[in-house]
Parts: sequence; C-alpha cells; structure tokens
Amino acid sequence: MRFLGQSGQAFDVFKLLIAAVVALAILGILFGILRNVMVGVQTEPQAKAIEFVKSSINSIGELKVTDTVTFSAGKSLNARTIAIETRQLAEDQVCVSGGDFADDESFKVVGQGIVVYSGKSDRTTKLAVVCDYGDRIEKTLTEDYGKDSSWLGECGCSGQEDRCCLVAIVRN
Amino acid sequence: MALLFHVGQRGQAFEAFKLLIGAILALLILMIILGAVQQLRGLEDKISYDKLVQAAQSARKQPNGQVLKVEDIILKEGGYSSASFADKMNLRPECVSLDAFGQAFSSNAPVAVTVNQRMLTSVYYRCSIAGSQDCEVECEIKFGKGFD
Repeated sequence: MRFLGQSGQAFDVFKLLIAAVVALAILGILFGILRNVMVGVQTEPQAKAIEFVKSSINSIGELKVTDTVTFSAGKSLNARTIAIETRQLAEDQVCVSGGDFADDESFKVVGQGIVVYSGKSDRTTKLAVVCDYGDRIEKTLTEDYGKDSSWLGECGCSGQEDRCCLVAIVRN
Repeated sequence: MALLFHVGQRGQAFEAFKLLIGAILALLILMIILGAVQQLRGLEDKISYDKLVQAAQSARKQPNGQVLKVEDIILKEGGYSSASFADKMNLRPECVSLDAFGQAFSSNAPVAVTVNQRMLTSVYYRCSIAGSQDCEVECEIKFGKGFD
C-alpha cells in the first residue's frame, strides 16, 4: 500500500514529517511577526502605560496622551510594575490615578499605586502621562496644562526632588 | 452529495476547509497590514518629535533673531511646556515662551500649549541674545503661525 522511492524505501511518512516540521516553522515565524506587529496596536492599559512612561522619562514637563486603551473588568494600572518595567525609575517614582474618572466608582484606587476597573462592560479611555521633577509636577499639571490637582491623588513622589511620573486615566 | 460538494481523493468534502483556510489567511494578512500601518504611524510620530526637538536645539545654538521654520511636523495629542523645551535646550524655563494658533490647540501662552488632536503643522523658532543675568538667550516658539 505504501509509495516506494527509487531505492525502495517507503517515504510518505517522511513526507508527512517534513510537512509537519515546515508547517511548525512557518507557524513560529508567523507568530513572531504577529507578536512584533501587534505591539503597535496595543490597547492593554498597563502595557500602554509602560510604553509611554518609558518614552516620557527624558521628556520632562511634557504631557503625552495615549491612543485609546480598553479597560475590562479586573484590569488595573499598577505603579510598581510600571516602575520596574521602565528599569530607570524606583518604585516610588511612579504614581497612577483615576484622573478624569477619580469620582467614578468603576475605577477604584486599591492600596498604594493601584487603580482597578470594576465596571461590568468594557470601557475605552486614554491615558495621560507626565514626567517631571516631583517638586514641580503639581505646578506643571495645574498651572501649565490646567488640569485638576486631584489628578495627583495621593502621589508619593510629588514634592520630592527626584523625577516623578504620573499616569492618569482620561476621557476618550 | 457528490453534486453539492467537491470530494477529495479519500472521499472527504474539502470546500469548507478551503474556505476556512482562506478566511484565516485573509485575517492574518489584514492584521499584518494593520500592524504595519500602525508601526509606520509610530515611526512618523517619532521622526516628527525628533525634528521638533532638533530644530529647538539648533535655534538655541544660533541666537541671531532669525526665524527658523520647520514644516510638516506631526504633533500628537498632549502638551508642551516652556519647561519641557527649556530642558531640551539647556535653558531656564522662563527663557522660553510658547504660543499656538489654531483650533487644534489650547494655548496657555507663554508657559504651555496643549495639542487637542493629532495634527500636521509648522513650528517657528526665534532665539536671540537677551543678555540678562537670568537669561543669556531667549527663545520664542510658535505653533501653527509664524511671527508677524
């Protein structure tokens, strides 16, 4: 029943094996490309916050606003994780706040430096990121950009001399 | 049944699988194209930002009172303050003034400019020697409209 090669060996099993290996290799390459490509269309709030804090560390006093991010139930922003991921900031140099949603019960501040979304349906928002010296960040936010001082929440690094980065959730 | 479906050598109907494979491939290609467009957009933003900062540094190095115009700058939603430019230009914040013209901006001249939506615009720089103790060089930066 088997096909036989010129030398008399059965080779359809080998053909199957080769096809499987080639298919796996192509799948690996495709996943690799997709992983790289999908970074550009990231809508995960925490990942977007990390990306923007990294790019804001050396842009003192600039206000950067992300594209739309999606909060689903249980999604959170964690200041400690953001700081660790930047590899340039200490844990107490990053703050997160509800920003425009400070009074919204769906965005709860849990412990220090964690904002958790507990709404039933997904919510699309943006994130605003400002890095400045701690003793100047409040002035930058309120006097320069006209934002409410409540954006800072209980930010531990405001008032310090070191760099301080704030991630606030803002309306879409 | 043979009239409704093409049948493979081993007797399986494979039209539906061909359709499924086609759909998956099309989706994959769409995702790759969308991702590539998004990445190009990011690259475009980065190049524009570098142009914005380099022009400011260049104007700072030549404080001759001449206007330096940089066209086709893409500004992302966000904001710039005199302190943010001063930091890049190695000046004190009070030595840099900002202003902006156009509906896409909210100006809090001379200290800050807020960009309300991603846009393409021109930016004008003018630096001159001030000679005061606080500001050796003074720079003005205008978004969207030049100096009169």
